[in-house]
Amino acid sequence: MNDKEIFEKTSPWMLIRLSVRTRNKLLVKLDKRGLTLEEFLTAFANGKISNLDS
Amino acid sequence: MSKRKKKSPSRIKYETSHPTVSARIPIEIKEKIIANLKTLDMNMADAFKKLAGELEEKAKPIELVKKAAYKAGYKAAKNYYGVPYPCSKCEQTIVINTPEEKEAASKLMTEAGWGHETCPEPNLPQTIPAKPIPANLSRPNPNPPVVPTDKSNSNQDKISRFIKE
Repeated sequence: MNDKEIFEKTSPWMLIRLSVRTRNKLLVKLDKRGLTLEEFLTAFANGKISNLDS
Repeated sequence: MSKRKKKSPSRIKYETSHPTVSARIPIEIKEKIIANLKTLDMNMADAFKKLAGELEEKAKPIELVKKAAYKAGYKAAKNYYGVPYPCSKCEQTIVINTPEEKEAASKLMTEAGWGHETCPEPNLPQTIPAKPIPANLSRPNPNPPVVPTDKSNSNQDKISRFIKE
């Protein structure tokens, strides 16, 4: 098993379907915070972001 | 070779209007996210919608709000007024509840001499505290020394005697 396969196994895809309008708003909000989706999710998991209200 | 199932037109329409937002995250972080979302009573889509400012707060049914308020009030009152004590046999906590328990507690409090903080001691005579005397003043002497006044030598007497003569 190479590194790519290990990564794909330990870090599976997380898919969420959102409407185009919501997705665009979400991307704008994340951009305002200066975070990528992965960074936001990691920060939320570690309790660094508790207030989701923008 | 299996043939892929053909998507219905409504499904195609839905998928184009609702594209996926995707990210690769480690399993441990995904589990932490799920645990955090459980505490917030949300799912992932709701969390993203809230972050995007699209999710409106759902109003809770009035019965649930009333129940929660009653529970909170009951808990606060129990903490404030309840007097817990350990059972002498099993050491489990009991809260004073029955009239017999209340009577026993009242007796014990009386015997131990509990009372108002501001009340004076019952056996000691009440004394009025003396006011402190300022440093520049002294107490008046009850027996002031008698100063002999020589009337014959005073100027006023001398003048009056002179006039008479």
